[in-house]
Amino acid sequence: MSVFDVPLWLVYWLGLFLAVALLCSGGATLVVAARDQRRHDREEAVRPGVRGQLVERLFSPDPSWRSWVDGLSTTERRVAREEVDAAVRNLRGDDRRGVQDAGEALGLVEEARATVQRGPSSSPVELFRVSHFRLLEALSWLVLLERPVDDALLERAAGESPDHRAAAARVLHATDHPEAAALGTRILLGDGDESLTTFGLDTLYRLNRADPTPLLTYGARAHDDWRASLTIQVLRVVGKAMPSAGDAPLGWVFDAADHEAPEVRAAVPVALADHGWHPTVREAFPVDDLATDPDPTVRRSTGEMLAAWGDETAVSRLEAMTRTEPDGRTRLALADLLADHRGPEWDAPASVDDVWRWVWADRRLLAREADAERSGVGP
Amino acid sequence: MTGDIVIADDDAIMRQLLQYKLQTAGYAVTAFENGMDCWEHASENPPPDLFVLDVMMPGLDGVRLLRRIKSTDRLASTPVVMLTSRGNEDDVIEGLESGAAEYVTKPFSPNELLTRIQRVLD
Repeated sequence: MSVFDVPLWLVYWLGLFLAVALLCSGGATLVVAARDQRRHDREEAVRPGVRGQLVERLFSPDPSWRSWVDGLSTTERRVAREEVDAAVRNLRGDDRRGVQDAGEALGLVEEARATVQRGPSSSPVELFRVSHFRLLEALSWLVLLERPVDDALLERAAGESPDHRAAAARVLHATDHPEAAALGTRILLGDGDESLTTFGLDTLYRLNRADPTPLLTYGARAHDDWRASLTIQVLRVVGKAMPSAGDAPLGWVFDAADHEAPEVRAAVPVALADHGWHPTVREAFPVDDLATDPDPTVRRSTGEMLAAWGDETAVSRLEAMTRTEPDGRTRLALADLLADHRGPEWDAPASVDDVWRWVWADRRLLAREADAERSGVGP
Repeated sequence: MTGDIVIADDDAIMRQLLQYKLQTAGYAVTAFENGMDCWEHASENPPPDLFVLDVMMPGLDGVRLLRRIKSTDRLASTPVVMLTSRGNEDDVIEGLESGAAEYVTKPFSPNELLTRIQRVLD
């Protein structure tokens, strides 16, 4: 039977079905759009009044948020939540605390905690599970309103999504949890198989910037399970937040200089560039291994680290690296770093002579351009 | 305290909050939701005692508005306080180079802003 042999009655009923389905779907779209528009109009009509009341109460000695909220209609409450959201992000100090209290009176904290309690997968039925965005929204409210939540619930809510983990760790940071750094670091890095989101990376930094001991301790235990990209992210944080003293375990950071991925090896000297003063770093870090690494990006990072350390021992090492660097582009980069410490009078060996002359010619040109710009004479 | 202050901020709640705070401190405040309306007002009226401009606004942004103000003879001496988001150091440098008297980064405390405004006006 060919397609042309389809009975006419079937074509008729199919066409009718499609037409009805199209009409229903179009009608439903119109109804939903009209309802949303009406809702939007109602909200915009009450918005100036609600905003004015919020501002006025914020600066009054007795804002009585609860009684204010009790007097609001459903539409006004929805608008008030949006206004609280906008205000709390832009304020700090006592006024921020006032807006946070308004948010709590509006039921935002209670609602967020209930959502976190339900968690990302607390129900076997998909329909009753908390959606990704609702959970994120709940965690965001807890961060914005700086209201704590039970540790176990938070860890469960963090689940397997990097977004949720970042948001859960941020709640700990924002609420000044006494174990924020250790618990937050564990939540963020617990999976190990996925990179951190930008927000997660920022949160890891905030949790550890004052004292990265929790991060270094956790890293010592777990870094073997991390994928390369996560190790690079952690090294970046370690580099920005180094302990000034103490016995935090740095060994695994040095061991990462032996990682199979060149990107990780290159990230190690970047992380240690600002910490040449640290005795443990100077004594235990395997500079020579990295200076002779087979990958040119690793050698270049090592040169950058030595240039940043800047003392005579480090600069002499950089000088030796520049002399023996086999890769032309890397040799040029190393010579440029060396030029910050050795003036043009440095007696460059024949192997470096060409790049050394290039570096200084480039620097003289840039200096002339800068002079011309300062004196107002364009090129 | 007395003085005329012109505010331009596209964020309605922040605009209203600043307006309320400054009015209760005794200032006469005129607020605009974008840079162009603020510029039109400034062009057609006597200079205020101070401008408070948000850097990020649609259309004519705070830094461009600041430059217009500073390049207009009758407005050039009016001090300008800029509001910007935390972390936008480039905005701060650009604004200060263009003649801003003060910079306040969001999130901010309205009390702190009021103190800075008073200091600029003194």
